[in-house]
Amino acid sequence: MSEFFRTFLSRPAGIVGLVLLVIVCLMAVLAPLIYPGSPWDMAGMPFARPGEAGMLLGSDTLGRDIASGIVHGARVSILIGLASTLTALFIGVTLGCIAGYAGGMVDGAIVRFTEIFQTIPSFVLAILFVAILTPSIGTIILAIGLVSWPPLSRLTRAQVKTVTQREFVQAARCQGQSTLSIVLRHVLPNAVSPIIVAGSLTVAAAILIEAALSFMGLGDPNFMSWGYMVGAGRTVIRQAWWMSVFPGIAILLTVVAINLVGEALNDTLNPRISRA
Amino acid sequence: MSLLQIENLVLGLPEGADRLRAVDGISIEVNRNEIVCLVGESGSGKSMTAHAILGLLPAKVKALEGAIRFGGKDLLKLPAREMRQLRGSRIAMIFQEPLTALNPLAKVGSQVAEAIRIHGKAGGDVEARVVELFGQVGLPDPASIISAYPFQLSGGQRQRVMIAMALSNDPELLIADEPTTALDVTTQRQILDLILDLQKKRDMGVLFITHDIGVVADIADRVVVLRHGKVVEQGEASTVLDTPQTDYTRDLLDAVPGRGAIRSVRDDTTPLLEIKNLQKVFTTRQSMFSKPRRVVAADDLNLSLQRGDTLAVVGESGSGKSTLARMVLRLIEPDNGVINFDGASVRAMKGEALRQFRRRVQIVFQDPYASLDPRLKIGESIVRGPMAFGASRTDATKTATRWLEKVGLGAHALDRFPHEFSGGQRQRICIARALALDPVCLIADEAVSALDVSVQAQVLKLLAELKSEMGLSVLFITHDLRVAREIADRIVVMQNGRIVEQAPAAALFDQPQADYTRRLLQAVPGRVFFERRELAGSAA
Amino acid sequence: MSIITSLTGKIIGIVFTILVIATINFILIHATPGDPAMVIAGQSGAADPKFIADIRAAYGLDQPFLIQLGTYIGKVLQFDLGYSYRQRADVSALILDRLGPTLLLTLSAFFVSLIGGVFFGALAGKRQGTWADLAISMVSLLLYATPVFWLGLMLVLVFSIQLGWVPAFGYASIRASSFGPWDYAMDVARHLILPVLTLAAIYMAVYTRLMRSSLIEVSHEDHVRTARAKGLNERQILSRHMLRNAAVPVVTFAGLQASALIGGSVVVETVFSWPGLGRLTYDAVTARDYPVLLGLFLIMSVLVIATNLLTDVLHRLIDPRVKGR
Repeated sequence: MSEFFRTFLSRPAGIVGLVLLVIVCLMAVLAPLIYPGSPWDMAGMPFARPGEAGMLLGSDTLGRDIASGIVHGARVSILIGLASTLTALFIGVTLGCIAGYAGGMVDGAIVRFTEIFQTIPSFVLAILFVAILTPSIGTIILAIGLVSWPPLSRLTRAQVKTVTQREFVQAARCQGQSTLSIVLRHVLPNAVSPIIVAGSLTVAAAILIEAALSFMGLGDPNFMSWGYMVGAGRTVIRQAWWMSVFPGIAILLTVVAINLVGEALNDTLNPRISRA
Repeated sequence: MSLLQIENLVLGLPEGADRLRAVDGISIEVNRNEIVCLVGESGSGKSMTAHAILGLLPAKVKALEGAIRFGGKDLLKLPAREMRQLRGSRIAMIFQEPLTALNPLAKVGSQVAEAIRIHGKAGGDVEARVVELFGQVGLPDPASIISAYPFQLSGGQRQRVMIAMALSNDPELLIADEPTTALDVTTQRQILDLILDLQKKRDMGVLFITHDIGVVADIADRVVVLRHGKVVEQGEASTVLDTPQTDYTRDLLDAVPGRGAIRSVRDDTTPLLEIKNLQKVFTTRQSMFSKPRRVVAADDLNLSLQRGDTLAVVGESGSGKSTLARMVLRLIEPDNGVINFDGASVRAMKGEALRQFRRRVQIVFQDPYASLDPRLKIGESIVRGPMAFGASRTDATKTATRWLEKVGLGAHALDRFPHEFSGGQRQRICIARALALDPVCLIADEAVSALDVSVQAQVLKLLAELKSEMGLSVLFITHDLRVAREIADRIVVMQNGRIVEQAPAAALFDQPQADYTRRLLQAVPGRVFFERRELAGSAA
Repeated sequence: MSIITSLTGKIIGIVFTILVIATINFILIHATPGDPAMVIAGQSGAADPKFIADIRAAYGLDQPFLIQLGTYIGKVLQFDLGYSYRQRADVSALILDRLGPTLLLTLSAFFVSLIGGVFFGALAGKRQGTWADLAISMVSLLLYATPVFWLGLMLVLVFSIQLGWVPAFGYASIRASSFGPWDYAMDVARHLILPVLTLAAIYMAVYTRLMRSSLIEVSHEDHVRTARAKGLNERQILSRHMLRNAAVPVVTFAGLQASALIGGSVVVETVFSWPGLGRLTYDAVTARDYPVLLGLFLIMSVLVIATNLLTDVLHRLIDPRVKGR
């Protein structure tokens, strides 16, 4: 385990990502302490430029503090990113495992089903889902989870299939180890790291989908979100660039951070173990 | 003057490699109209030497000292442009892996034509020239095969294409880097004959790199024996092979399997393992609507393994021999047929019975790199077995230690990871893992095929010792008749999922019945030489 | 496998996919809290009771569930996607009307991203470790993490508002109707630049990264060494034996990205007021015009399938092994 951290920390890009990610998470957790009031409340005059009227990043068309919105928006992004990825992992890993182990007809049916889901324009399905079931944190998480599982399912299936065919797994079967022990001790540890990496990248993708949904006006009206802020500032971009620029940078940095961490994880977890 | 002169060549490896120099001061000559074999085990530097001639070394390997003289010039100092003019025209090269050496996306004919055009010898009809070359290397229907893609050809055919490409500009020197290693033994024989024939017709000098001293005996005019980047011995092939001057050459020659007394067979009443009418067909389909592809892996197989015997199953790739091993252990389910072990039907076993059966029949796989869990310590990999059958961790560790010592590794191996061991050591660990369960029968699935010949000899010796000590019965799967001869009491020859011959080892080697067996025997590299050597040895 | 069987397979696959999507639509309609007829009508508060009754009859909403499903799928297969009560028009007519601009946008973005990705990826891969590689890799890392809509807005901010080089919004100038055909085309092209760049940028980043690693992988392959041993120079090796091989996984992957590309067009059209399916989607979302949304979902899925077929053709063109298998 200590070796794991050492390899991870030997990658500067990974460290940058990790630091950024920690900052975003701290913002999410400490939002009520940093900006105690509601981000929806008017904090000063509308259209204040960054630095004016005591507002670091300026205010929006209704005089709401952009900085407060960004700090509070981190909560929604992180929450939705994690929860929808867990949903997607649950669906994807379950289906992938079943397909990989069972093989035959079951496998064929699941592969076919996954392929169809990959043809569906996932963002449009998410829009449809949220619009019809009315936007809320719950429906958004469900919608993003529902459209993000197919790559995870394919990956899990492929991993389970290759690892179970590896000779050390067959040797373990011949050693008389129970199926459960083989799966837990040999198959999963050797199959799981690409899935962890893919999962971390799914979090980034989920945050982008959430931002796009709330940009389209399909966010949860009770929570401030970055996508919503960009969408709200869009119509006045000629007069007030800061309203859309800063929330966008917040999204960009968060997603970059997660991608960097994901890649560092990938380098750490998958050093050509198979042939090393 | 000789065609090629390598003088005191030193190739430096990058930092962190297992040694500083891949090649350390070797000198070799190749003359017109002769075949020089560069022979050595893995890591001897033989391939590096070959690549250095054409400047094809990996970026991190640098020529530090010496010279490679060809046509009055030092190739190491040649400007890139002049080197390119030599490559593929006056000096040509063929490689080990015919599967990957050709561009998968281009037609084979155009790949050969490119070699002709690039050197400006496009005068006349290039396509006709390619067809002619394809004819010379014995490709069937040359006129239509020029528009085939590599994936449509067999391994042997691809190697013929490579040879045609190499010959396309009438080179003076041909460098062949293990050109037959990836091929089945009968295909290897054809390719060797082809190279010999073309070399004679064209007065070419050939530098032939190989690890197989049998191949050397078949084709070499002169031999250079390499070890750890240094020349151990060189000279006329007949001299070096018949009267080797160094211990290493002698060891290499002695390590080649397939000599010594052939075992005679006792007839027993009840076989330990009996297989009747075993059938298995694999069907794969690309999509839901395409026609499935059928591969027959087992077509009505009948064989039996007597207690205390070693039964070798010999066949080329695709013969179904490995599938057979896996079906015995029920790692693959057969379609039909009977497998009886000690009188009980293996196919009827379920749950605990199957587990107990697998304890008594253990397997050692081919690839020593894939058969140990990379995330587990060696000790852990071994103790899992006995512990699965109720041994305490302390007892299981004792067993593991005992077996590790027995296979020559010692207790300190327990706490180390697989990647810290060499291929041969890993194979010993796999044997220890199998034997720690106290089996009565051992299945060795190409267990020594991935190993260098000297390591192979050690592992075979270990297996033979353990076998006689424990009274094991062994089902030995191999593609190499020489290995089978070394270890087997009885031999089964398989081809395309069918048994073509089955006989006691002695009978099979003395009087092969099936046509295919005869072809296999004749294809064994160095057969004539080793038979002669054997006779001389027993006379002395 | 012959072309015919592979084609039949494809068509059966497409029909099957459409059936599944129609079923998802149907389930969504019924999953709504409230009256499915209201969903189909578009949840307009002042829905005319007679219209609701018509919908009930047309979709057999008093029939058992499976028969309703059958009726719905039957309608879909006849390209009857319902009636938008808000826009007072057939959904299929609305969609057909907007199809052209979307095709123009997505196809341009598809090719721009693919060509750009292969180009920059090859450049970075060939110069592995140099500043060019580093710069390309950094930019693609950032682009890959950029929200599409925000990237669009930033491009507008810089290239339209600050620099005034290209128009910010719309499909053509207001005066466009007075232009000749050539001027009109140029006008549309000028309007097309920013939306295409926005949509293409993210996928270009993905393809660049993929192409880079693919080219590096190919450069270690045996057949490249063969080409070198033949006497080819580095440029010939790159153009004849590496580029095509390295592009194969990129094209395969582009097929998988088709659904994301179509999804991205929704956001991009919203940002640029591009009068295509995406803009229609935004309007339908804002107005909660469900029949239009459901129809759009179906049509966009068909577009994804079409893009998949296109990448299949591309794949066949560059990789002979596909046909032979």
